Formats: sequence, structure tokens, C-alpha cells
Amino acid sequence: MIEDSVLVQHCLAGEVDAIRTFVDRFQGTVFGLCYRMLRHREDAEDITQETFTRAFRHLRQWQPGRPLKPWLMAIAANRCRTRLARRSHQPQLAGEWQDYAVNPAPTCGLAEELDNGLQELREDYRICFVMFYQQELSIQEISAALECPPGTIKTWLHRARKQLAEYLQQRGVVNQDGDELH
Amino acid sequence: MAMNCTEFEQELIEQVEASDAQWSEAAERHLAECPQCRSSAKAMSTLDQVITAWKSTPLPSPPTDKLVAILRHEAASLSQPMIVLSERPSSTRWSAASWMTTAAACTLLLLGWAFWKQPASPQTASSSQIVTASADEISPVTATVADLWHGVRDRSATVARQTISSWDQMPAIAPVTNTEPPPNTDPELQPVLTQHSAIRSTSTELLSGWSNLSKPIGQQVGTALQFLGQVIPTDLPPAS
Repeated sequence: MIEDSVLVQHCLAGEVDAIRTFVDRFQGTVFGLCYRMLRHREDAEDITQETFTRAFRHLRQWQPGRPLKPWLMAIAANRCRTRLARRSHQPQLAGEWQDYAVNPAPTCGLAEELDNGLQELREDYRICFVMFYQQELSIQEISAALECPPGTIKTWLHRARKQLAEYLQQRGVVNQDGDELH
Repeated sequence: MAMNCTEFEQELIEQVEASDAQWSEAAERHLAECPQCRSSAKAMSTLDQVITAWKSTPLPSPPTDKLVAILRHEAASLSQPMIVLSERPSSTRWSAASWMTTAAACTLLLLGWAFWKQPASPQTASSSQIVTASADEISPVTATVADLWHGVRDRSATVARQTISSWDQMPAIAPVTNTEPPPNTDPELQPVLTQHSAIRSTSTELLSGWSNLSKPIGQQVGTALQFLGQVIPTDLPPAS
């Protein structure tokens, strides 16, 4: 597999194949984060597009020694934060977001419950959780992306897990003993 | 030493990255003794199962083709600013230069027209036109000549007569009645030669010599000669 630094050089040269490879390599990660964070397909597509566009505009400033994936995830996380903040300032549209939000498949009850629980988390915790479990970034990579010490990332991740566990208990998904009910 | 709940939670934090928790002996003993932490640990384990189900949920496909098209356009636009001038057709650049030149020329023409239409100030008029001295106008040179003449006349009638005699012997210039300057002549001398019919000059050479002088001097000398031509013949002192 071609290295990120070489891929970037080909992309900067405008090679179509390299651009497609770049998109194929990172779009799932970026789009997954956006989708999990925003829970809205069109919004997720918009933010994914914004993320890649911004990344391309600053690709010349990207340092080859820096991992590309956390860098992209940092851009995506910031864009998601901005979009969520914009939503929070538009309370009249809150209902519309819910109306157009993607409904998960009915067979995925547990996943849906977890998704709902994620929305209750603080943004930092949510980003951390999605990056770690959905995108499978390491603590070090998340630390680099969010520019926080690894210890802080571990704490945020633990708090996210703890709050989600409590949420699932409140929702009756897990009983007081921690056993799964359905 | 027995582990407390805070220390157990700290161990949870440290093991958050591990796929399956490997408890220390102290943590195992604490779990055996603390139902609350045991419940928490079990809830976390259940959560891991929920997370596994959550991760397996298929996500919608990202718009790959759309992204590639956008990034191709972006890559093209990123490479353009560095060479945008050299890539532009030369006709376009010349067209822009032509427009700029035309605009500058129009501006200059407008400014020139505005100056041309502006009425000339008195100073400008006096420096570009011949001002004819009137007969009774006494300019400084004329006054000086008059003072000299009156001094000669008052002090010595003989000298005055000699002056008149020598004056009469000088070649006279034919009276000129045409006030329009003759063609192809220096207009600066025209007031001297054309304004009065009774002018008598010392010589044509003398007058032509004045033409090399600047206008104010030539004008005043002409006026002074005019004065002499008018005054001397009639101001002859009585014979002693």
C-alpha cells in the first residue's frame, strides 16, 4: 500500500487515481465519525465534503511525519462541533433535525440505544468514544487529533463508557446487576 | 493493602484500552468485596457487547464519486494560482492592457479639455498678449526719460537745443496707422512701432535691437520713445 506521504504528493500533482485512493482510504473513517456525531446523513455528507476540501487546501502544509488519519479526524471533529453548535443556536430547527435524522434498522435495537446514549454525552466524550470504538484509533492517535494528553483521553473514554452504561441501565437495556436484558 | 473504590475505578481507566480486562489481584479482591464496583464492572462488560453490536451496524455509504469530483476540482484550483498569469491567453492579457491604456488616455484627454476650457487668468493674459501702452501712461522708463529731459531743458537751453537738433537729424520712422501687427513679425515689438503715428525713433537699428529684449523692457522703452516723440518738438525751451 502506498504511503500517506507519497499519496499526498500524487494528490497535490492532481493525479486522479491518487485522489480516488485518498478518498477511498479515509472517507469511511471521516464519514463514520460525522455520521455518528451528527446522526444526519446529509449533514454527515456535507461535513465529510468540508473536511476533505479543507484537508486538500492545507495539504501543502501537512507535515509528512504527522499521521494523516488523526489530522483528518481532527478536522472532521472540529467541523462536527461547529455544525452541532450551529444546531444548538437554531432551536426552531431541532425538530426538523429529528424528522430528517436517519432511522437505524429496526433489528439493531442495542445499537440504536447506544446511539441515543451517545447523543447524551458531552461532545468531547462522544468524539473520543466514536474515534476509539468506531474508527479504532489508538489513544495516542486520538490524543494527537484532539491535542489532549493521553491520560485525558483515557479519562474521557472511561467517563463516556460509564455514562453510557448508566444510560443503558436507565433505559432498561441492562439491569442493575449489569446483565443485558434484550 | 485492600483496594478502595477510587483505586478500582483508576484501574478501570487504565484498562480502558484493553479489549478484555485483566484485573490485578487487588482489584479481584475488591470486586469480591464490593457489590457496587462488581456491578459497574459487569455493566462495562455488557457495554462492550453492546458496542460490538453498535460497531457492526452498517453505515450508509459515503458519496465517493462526488467527493472525488470535488477534490479533483479542488486540486485543479489549487495548482492554478501559481501559474494563472502564464496560462491565460496572451490576447486576454493584451486586452486588459489595452483597456488600461485607453482609460488612461481618456483621463488625460478629459484633463486637457478641462484646462483648455478654463478661462485664462489676468497674469496669463498679460504674459501671452501684447498690452499696448496708452499715450498718457507714464511707465518708469518714460518717467526717467521725462525727468532727464526736463532736467536738460531747465539747466541748459543750449543743451536742449542740441538735443533737439540731434533728434531731428535722426532718421524718422514713417508713421504707422495700422494697429494690426504685420504678418511674420514679432508681436512683442508691435506696440512700440504701431500704436502712435507720431513716433520718432533714433534709428530702426536701435528699435530692432530692442526686439531682443524681453517684453516688459521693450514695451517701456517704446513708451518712453513715444513720449519723447510727442513732447520734445513742442517743448522746445525758449532761446536764450
